[in-house]
Amino acid sequence: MTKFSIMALIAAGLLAACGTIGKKPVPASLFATPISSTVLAVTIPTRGAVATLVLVARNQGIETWQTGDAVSISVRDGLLLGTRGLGFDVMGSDVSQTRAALSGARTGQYAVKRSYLTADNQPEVISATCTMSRAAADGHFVEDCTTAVGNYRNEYWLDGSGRAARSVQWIGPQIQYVTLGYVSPS
Amino acid sequence: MTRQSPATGFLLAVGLVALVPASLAHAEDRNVSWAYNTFGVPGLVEMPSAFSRPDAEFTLSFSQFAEQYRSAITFQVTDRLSASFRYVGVDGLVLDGADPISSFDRSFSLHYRLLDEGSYLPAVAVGLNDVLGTGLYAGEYLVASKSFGPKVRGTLGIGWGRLGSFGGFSNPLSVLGDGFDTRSEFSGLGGELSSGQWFRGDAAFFGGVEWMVNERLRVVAEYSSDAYVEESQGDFDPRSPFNFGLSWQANNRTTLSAQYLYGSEIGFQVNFATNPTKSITGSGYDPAPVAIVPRDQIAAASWGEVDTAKFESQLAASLKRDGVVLDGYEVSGNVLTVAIRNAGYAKVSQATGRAARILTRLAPRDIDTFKIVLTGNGVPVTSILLRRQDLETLEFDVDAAQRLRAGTAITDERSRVATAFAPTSFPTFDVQPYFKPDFFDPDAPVRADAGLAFSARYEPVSGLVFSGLIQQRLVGNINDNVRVGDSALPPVRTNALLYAQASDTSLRELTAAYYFRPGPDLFGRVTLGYLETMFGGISTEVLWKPQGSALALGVEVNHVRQRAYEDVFGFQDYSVTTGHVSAYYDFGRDYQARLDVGRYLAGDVGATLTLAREFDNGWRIAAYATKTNVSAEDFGEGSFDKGILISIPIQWATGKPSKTKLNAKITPINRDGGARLSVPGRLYDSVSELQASELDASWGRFWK
Repeated sequence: MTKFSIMALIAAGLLAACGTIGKKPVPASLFATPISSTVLAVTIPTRGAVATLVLVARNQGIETWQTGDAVSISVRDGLLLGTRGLGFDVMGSDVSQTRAALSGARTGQYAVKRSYLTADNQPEVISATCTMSRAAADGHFVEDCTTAVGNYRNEYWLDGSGRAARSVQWIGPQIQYVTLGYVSPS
Repeated sequence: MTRQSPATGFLLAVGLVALVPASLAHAEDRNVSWAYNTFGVPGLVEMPSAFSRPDAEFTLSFSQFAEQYRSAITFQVTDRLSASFRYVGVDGLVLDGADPISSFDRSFSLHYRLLDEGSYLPAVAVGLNDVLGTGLYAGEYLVASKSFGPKVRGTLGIGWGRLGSFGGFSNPLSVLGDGFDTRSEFSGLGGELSSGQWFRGDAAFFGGVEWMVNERLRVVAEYSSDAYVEESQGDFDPRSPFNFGLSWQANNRTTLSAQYLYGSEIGFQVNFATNPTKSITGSGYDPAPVAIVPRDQIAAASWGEVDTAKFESQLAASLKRDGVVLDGYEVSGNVLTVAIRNAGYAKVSQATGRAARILTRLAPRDIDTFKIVLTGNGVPVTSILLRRQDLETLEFDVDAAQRLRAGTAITDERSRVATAFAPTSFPTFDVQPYFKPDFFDPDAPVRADAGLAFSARYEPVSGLVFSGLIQQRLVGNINDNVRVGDSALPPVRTNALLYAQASDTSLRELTAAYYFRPGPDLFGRVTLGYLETMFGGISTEVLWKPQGSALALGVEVNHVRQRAYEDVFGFQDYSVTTGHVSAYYDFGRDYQARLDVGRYLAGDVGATLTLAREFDNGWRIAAYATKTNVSAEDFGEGSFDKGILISIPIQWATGKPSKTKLNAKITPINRDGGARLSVPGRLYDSVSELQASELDASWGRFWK
């Protein structure tokens, strides 16, 4: 079997050939200071992750919330628009119809789009067809969506201002659901 | 040998195929082979099938039975074309009745799917095994495969050469001419295109059936047309042409197989498959970038209100944290220009995005345009003109990449910024481990050295770079090799070993280089010093490469002298003027070609053709061949220089930002003919990675 192990060595050698690993930068985003005392509590069941995120930026109604290890989630009125640092990140979203459905401005079927980046750096969009329905409790909405990669169900609990104060939202076939909840300092 | 008659065996195989009920296959599985055969070709157990693997798949495969040890690298070059490079060790090989020997054989094969599977018609493929080698595995085939429902597939083929060695009959292609009747014995040094032999001599049928028991388990039965003439003189006793295999898809990457072969042997195989277009980290775990801050939240209204010293230090520090080096900046009206170099990412589009985000936090409100200048070796290459408004409005837009690009101008840039920092005004030092494998010495197929590489770099002014590289070997056995050259040419490469044996410490490079822009779309370089382990002298290069152009042209002229073995700074008598005219062409969709014509190190004249597929994440797989006016006899074993280059970005593998790549070069034989000077800092790669075509190909990364 010596030759067989030699073959395996060739493989190992190929993979290790001439490689050196560069220095890892500490990202600039971690130097941002929180701009609000409210925090966003986030869980990602598929990752077994629970985190508390602080608000680091507000851009045209979009809030960017960030963990201490440079994972960020960006939302508008509680609806998730993007993630960074998670791996299969949502690069951008069009959830304007969801917003309209939550406010009662639209009924029936509507479209939701989320864009991703492939491992080969190409944009990839997942389009969903959704319907919104009211649940029994006041301000509780259920959004059922179908996509080419499976179906999902989001849930939103609105506060008085129409913002989704608490929600369960699908962010893609790999990570699936995240739960978001605003927590104000008591 | 006690074998069944070939005719009976073949009829049995046909019977097996015919018994299976036909129905439509799953569309998504169509034309995708379920596995690789023992040679690393899409197929059955030992025989090929007509299907291909998923586009871009890159696989290492290892198989072993009856003293045959095969390793193969297979790349699905296009949807239809697979190429394999194999290295095979055989014990107990009997050639021409001589005593059994051990032999190592390198071979290169191609498999091309001519026709897709249809509702009624099978997929059809043609293949050439051992296109260039010493002929041990030379064989050609035409094969058809058909699905019968989603779980069963049948394959029938006709083989020539080695694949026509069992159950052979006279060549049906003889109707085309008597030349197809006979296949001459292999002779020569190997490495030459053996097209005169293709599809000649006796032919034989092969075939088989595959059954997917479930998603992971596959059962195969085949009828082989390979008689193993040379291998079966010793202990290996093929008794039957039937082979049976079980393969188990352990996970997305790994397949394990066990086989019962030729009625007498048990074999094992393992395959590791990966696909450059996919990654287990998705688009990567890169830490979140700085969030964009809109202008109305910026304190300073105009550049006049900005504390420039503070601005400078904040800008430099923030960029550095995100893997970007600040070369300089200037303000002109409402435009803030920032010159940067990418130090942290596989793709410069990401470095550009990181820089732009940081600028939204630091630039005063009246700045409405960011001009980001990408520099390489201190020389400006590309200007990216971004509208600040676009950054603010598109941050999480579903079409952010495309819409941002529509409003962004990417152009050639030659002028240096006004407030330039001496990029590294003091020398920088670095120590890294190195690992240097050396393949295919018949006495020890794998040798390797490992040690530490010390490097230093000093850039007193933009474009002028002093650099050095010393390697200290700590362990290894490359210099145990005793096969020092026998060459009809000046020993420009075959005596590489003498340098390794002279000392454990080697000064690999010590150079002064000057990079400059001679004109629009033109790039220049002059490098002086010890350019590589074996040669020192002067190297000059000019490259014409317009932004977004598929074609680039370059000229390189070097005058070098061979370095001494022992004396670190000394030289030998041999000197040569070597250089090339190069044309680079980008075919789009990842495919590239390069042609170099000129004079090589041994004074021989000829050309090198390189074909590559480079993915938008930096993965690159290339093959090259060099033919010069050196005869095959003078060149020696292998006949001409050729090889495979593989480059894998660390960022793809780890999902963490890194500019580093793993590079491997596989040359079956390193001889003196067609040898090229190795010069650090050649222009094409460092220029093209900063230009519009590469930025556009990975533009989505801007927002990552």
